[in-house]
Amino acid sequence: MLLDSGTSSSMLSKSKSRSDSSEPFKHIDWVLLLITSALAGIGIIAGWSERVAKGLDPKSGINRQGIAVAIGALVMMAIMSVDYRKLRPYAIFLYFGTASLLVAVRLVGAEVNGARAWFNLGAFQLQPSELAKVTLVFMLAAYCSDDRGQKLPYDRFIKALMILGLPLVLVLAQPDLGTASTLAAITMGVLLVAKAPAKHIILISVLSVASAYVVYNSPVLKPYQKDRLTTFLHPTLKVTELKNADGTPKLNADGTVSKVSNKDQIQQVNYAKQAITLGRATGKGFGKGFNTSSGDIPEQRTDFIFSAIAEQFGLIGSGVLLLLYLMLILRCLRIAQIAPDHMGSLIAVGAATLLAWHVFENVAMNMGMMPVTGIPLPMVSSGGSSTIAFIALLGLVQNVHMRRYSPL
Amino acid sequence: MGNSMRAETSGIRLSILGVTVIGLFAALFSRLWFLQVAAEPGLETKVANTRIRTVPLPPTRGRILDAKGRVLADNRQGLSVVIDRNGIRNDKKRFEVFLSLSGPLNKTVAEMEARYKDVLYDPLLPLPLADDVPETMAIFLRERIVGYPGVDVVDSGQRSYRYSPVASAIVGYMGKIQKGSESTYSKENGYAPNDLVGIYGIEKSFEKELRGKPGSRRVEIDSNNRVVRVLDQIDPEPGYDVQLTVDIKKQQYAEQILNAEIVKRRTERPPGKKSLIDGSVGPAGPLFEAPEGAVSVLTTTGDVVALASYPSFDNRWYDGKTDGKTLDTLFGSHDGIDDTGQKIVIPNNGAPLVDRSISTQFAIGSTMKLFTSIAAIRNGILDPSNKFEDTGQWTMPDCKVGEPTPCDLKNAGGAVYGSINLSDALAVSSDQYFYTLGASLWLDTPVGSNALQSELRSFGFGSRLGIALPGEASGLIPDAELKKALAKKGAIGKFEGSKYFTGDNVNLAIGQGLLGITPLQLANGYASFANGGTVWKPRIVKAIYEAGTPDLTFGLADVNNAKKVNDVEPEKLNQVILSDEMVQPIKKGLRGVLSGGTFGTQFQPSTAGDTFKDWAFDEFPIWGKTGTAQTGDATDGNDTSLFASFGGPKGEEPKYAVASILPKAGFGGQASAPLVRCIWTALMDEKNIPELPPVAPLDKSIVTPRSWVIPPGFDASCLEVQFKVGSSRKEH
Repeated sequence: MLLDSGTSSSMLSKSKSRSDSSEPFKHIDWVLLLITSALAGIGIIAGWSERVAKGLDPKSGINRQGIAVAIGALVMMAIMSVDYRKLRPYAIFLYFGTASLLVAVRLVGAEVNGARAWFNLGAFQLQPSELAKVTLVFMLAAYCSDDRGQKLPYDRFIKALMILGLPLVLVLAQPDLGTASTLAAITMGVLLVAKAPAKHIILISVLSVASAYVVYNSPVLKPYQKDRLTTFLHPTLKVTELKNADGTPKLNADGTVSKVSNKDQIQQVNYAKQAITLGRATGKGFGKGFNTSSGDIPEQRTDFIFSAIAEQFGLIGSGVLLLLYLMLILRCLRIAQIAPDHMGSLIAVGAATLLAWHVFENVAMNMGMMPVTGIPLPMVSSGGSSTIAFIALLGLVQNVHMRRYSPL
Repeated sequence: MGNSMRAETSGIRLSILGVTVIGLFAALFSRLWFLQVAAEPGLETKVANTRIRTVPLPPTRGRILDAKGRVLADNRQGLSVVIDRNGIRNDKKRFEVFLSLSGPLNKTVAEMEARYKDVLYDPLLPLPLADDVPETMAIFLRERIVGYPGVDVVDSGQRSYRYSPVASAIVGYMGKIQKGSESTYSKENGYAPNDLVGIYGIEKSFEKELRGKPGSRRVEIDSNNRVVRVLDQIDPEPGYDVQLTVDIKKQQYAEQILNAEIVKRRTERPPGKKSLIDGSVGPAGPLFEAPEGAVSVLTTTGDVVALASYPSFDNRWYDGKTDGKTLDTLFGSHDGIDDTGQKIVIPNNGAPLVDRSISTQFAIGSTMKLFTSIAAIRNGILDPSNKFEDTGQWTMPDCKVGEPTPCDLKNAGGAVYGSINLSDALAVSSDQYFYTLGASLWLDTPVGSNALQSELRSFGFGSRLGIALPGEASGLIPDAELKKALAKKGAIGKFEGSKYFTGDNVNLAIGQGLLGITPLQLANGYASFANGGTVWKPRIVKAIYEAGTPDLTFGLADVNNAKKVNDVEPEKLNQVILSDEMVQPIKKGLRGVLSGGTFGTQFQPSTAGDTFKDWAFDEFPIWGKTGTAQTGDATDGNDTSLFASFGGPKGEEPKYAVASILPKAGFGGQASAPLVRCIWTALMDEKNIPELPPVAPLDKSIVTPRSWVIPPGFDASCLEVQFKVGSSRKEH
C-alpha cells in the first residue's frame, strides 16, 4: 500500500515538475497522431487509386472512406476527452453490449457470402465483430490490470479466458475465423504483459495448439473449411460437394448439387502475389497497374488493398507502409511502458497486439504466407466499421498517453 | 520494490512482445523483398501471359460478282442481335433480360438460355441471341436500345445470295469444316474449328481468295472472362472479290428455260410407231419422265456464260443450320426413311446437289458425228465430197455372229437417204454413213485402231477440263483398255464381252455405247471446232479484285474502278489442227441441220429444220447438231435428247457454243433443240430474254417441297415449235 501511494505521489510530483498543467490535451502523442493520420490518408488514397484505375467515379469511394475517417476522428476526440480510468466501471457494460450485438447480428444481420456479420444501417454497414476487438482490449485491460504489481492469479487467468470465450464463440458462429484469431491474439498479448505466470501462458499455448489440432481433425470443421485454411500451403483446386445433415447431397434451387471450391482463394492469392511481384522496386504509379484495375482480386479494396499498393508504389511504397505500421505498434508498446497505470499499459499492449496481428495476417495473406481470412489492413482497407474501430482504439491509446500526468 | 518489480516484469514481457512484433515484420519485409526485387526474372511475363487472351477477328469475306459486276454473294444482310455478356452474368438479371427480349425476338427464354450455355459461342465475344433478323426487327431494337441494355444489332457476316436460287450450283455455299478437310482448314492456315468455309461451288474453289486474312485482338481478361481492356489489335484483311464470267441474267434464263422445257416435256409422249405394213400409227408411249438435264453455254474462247442443271437447289438453305430432313422435304436431296421405317425414293427430284452440267457424263448420240467426221478426214479414210450410197442397211465388216453388236445395222427409224456426201450425212444424221467411218477408224487407219479415241482426247474429252468448280467429271472414252477394266469390275453386262469389237467403235462413231461426256465438255468441244481448233480450259472466274470495290448502284459493283489483283487468263489446253477440207463441209452440214430443206437423193428433211426454220441465219449465223442417245431398253421414252451448237453475230468468228442434254426426254430435235433455240434467241439479243420474275426472298419458316412448275410469269413461249417432218424423225 505504502509503495503504491508512493508511486502515485512520485507521479504527481513528476507531473508538476514537467508541466505547469495537468491538462491532458497538452500531452497528446503527436507521433501517434501523425502516424494514425498518415495511415488513414493512405487508406483514402488507395481506395481512390483503385477507382481511378478501374475507370470508376473516384468520388464515391473517397467519400465513403473519408466519412469513415471523419466519424473515426470524432469518436477518437470523444474518447480522448474522457479519462480512460473513469471509464473502467463501464467496461462490463460495453462488453456485454457488444456481445448482445454479436448475438443480434446472428439473428437479424444481413447475410453476405454465407456469413451473418453485418447490420445494414442504410449507407453504412455496421460490423459488430470489429467493435468486439476494441471492447475486448478495454475489458481485458480493465479486468487484468493490477497496480499492485502482483502476478495474475490462477482464478483471474481463467476468468480472463472466459472473457475471451464469449465473443470468441459468437464470432466463430458467424463463422469468422479471422476475427476469432484476432481476439485470441489480443488476449495472449494482454495476459503476457498482465504478468500471467509463464507456466500458464505456456500451458494455454500448448492447449490451444492441441485443441486447434483436435478441432481441425474433428467433424466440426467441414472439409471445405479445412481446405480454405490450408490452401495457402497447397494452392491446388479442391471442389467439395455440400451435404445435408443426413448425408444426402445438398441441392441448389435448380436441382444441381451445391458445391464449394477454394478456386476464389487460390485466384485471390495468386493474383495478389502477381500484383506485388509486378510492382517491383518502384511500382507502376498511381492508378496504374493491371491487377489493381482488373477486378481480378475480389475484396481488393478491403482485404487485398496491400497488393494494390505494392503494385502501384513498389517496394518503396509498401515498405514505407509496413514501416509506418511497425512504428505505430512500437509506439503503442512505448506508451504501454510509460502508461500512468497498469490498465493503461494493458490497453496499449492490447492495441499493439491487435494492430500487429492484423497487419501481419493481412500482409502475409497477401503474399501467400497465411490462410485467407477476412482481416483488414488497419485503417487502409476500405471498410467503415473497421476504420472507425481502429481510429477509436488509437484514441484510447492516445487517451492513456495524454493522462500520464493527470491525477485520477 | 513492487513497483520496480512490476516495471521490470512488464518491461521484459513488453520486450518479448516488441521483439516478436519486430520478428514478424522482418518476415514480412524479407518476403516483400523476395517478391518485388529478388523474384526470378520471367515471372512477370509468365504472369502477364496467363491473363491475356487472343480473340480471333474473322475477316470480311470477298464478294462473288457476275460478268457485269452484279453482286451474287455478299455479306451485308446478315443482321444478328447480340448481347454483352457482362450484363447477364447474374442468373436473375439474365432471366429478366431474356424475358424482355423474348417478345421482340420471338424466342423463348429457354432458347436464349441454351445459347448462353452453349460452349460453341466464344465467351469473350458478345452472345448472339438471334441470327438473320429482319431489318424491321433491327430497327425496332435500335430505336429502343436504351430499354435493352447491352443489346446490339450487328452485321454478323452472314452470306447473302442475292439471286438465289439462280446459280446456286455455281456460287455454292458455306458450311462447317467437314471431316477430312481439317488439315486444309487448320489453325496454321488461320481457321478456327467453328469457322464456316466454302464447301460447294465458287465458295469452295475460291475459298482462299474469298476468305481474306483473319485478324486478332489481344485482350486482358479477368477471372470471369470479362474483357478489361484491349491490348492491341491486328485488323483482319478482307477477302478478294471474285468476278465470274457468268452473266446472271443469261444464267437465270438458262435455268428457267431448262426447267420449263423439262416440265413441258413431262406432259408429252413419244409418238406411236408407224407400221411398215399399212402406215398406220400405233398408240403413243407413256409420258416422258424427263428427270434431269443440263445446259452449258460457253463463249468459243472458253468462258462460261451459263451452266444450268436440273434438278437444282437453293443455296440459301444450305447454311449449315438446316437439317437433312428439311432439305429432303425441300429438294429431295437424298432418299430417306419415312415414318414407318420404309426407304423412300423421292421421284424425279433426286440429287439436286449434283451439277449435271459438269458432274454427270452422258452418251452424246449423233452430236458425236462432228468429231467422227474430223477423225475420218484427218486419217484419210474420208473424202468429204465423195458421194456415199445410203441404203439404210449396213453390214459390219469383219463381223462374227455372237458379238454384242449385231452384224446387220439399220439407220434409226429405218430411214433411207440415197446418195449423200458428208454435209448431207450430218444434216439428216445418217447412221449408215458414220457406221462405215466408225468401222474404218478401227480397222483401216495408218495410225492404229485408236484414231477416233485420239481425236476425242485431243478435243478434251475423257479428262477433266479443269473448270474452277468442284466435282467435275472426267468422262469416259471407250477403248480396249477401258472395256477390259470395266468388264473386270463387272460394270458392264456379260454379253458385252471384255474385248473391244469393231461394233464398239461403230457405236462410238455415232455417240453410243460406253462413251461418257459432260455437257460442259460437249459445249467446249463444239467451241473448239468453232474457234478453229483451240481447246480452252473453261474459265468461270475472270478476275480477282481487292476488297472495297465501290458500287455503282445497290448490288452492282463498279468493276471498272476496282483494283485488280489479277486477271485469270484463259488457258489453252490443246490446239487441234483443222483444215478447210474438214471445216467447210462439216459447217455446211451443221447449218443444214438447222436451216432445213431436204438432202440426198431421197430428199429427207434435216433433223432440226422445223425448230430453226425462221432463224435469221444472215443476221446471226448458227450451226448445230442434234443427237438422240439410246439408253436402257431403247424405247423412245428412254432416249436422251441432245443438241450441240455454235454461232454468233454475223461478220465475226462464232462467239458462243451451247449444248443441252435431256435424258429420257425424246429425240434431239424435239426436246433439246427447241431449248437451245430459246437460248440462242437470248444470246442474240438480251432484249429477247423475257422479263424475268424477281427472285423471291426466302422465308425459312415455310418448308414445302419444291415444285418444279414453270415459274409464274415466265414466258416460255419460245419453246413452242410445230414439229412437222424432220424433228419428229428418229435419229441417233
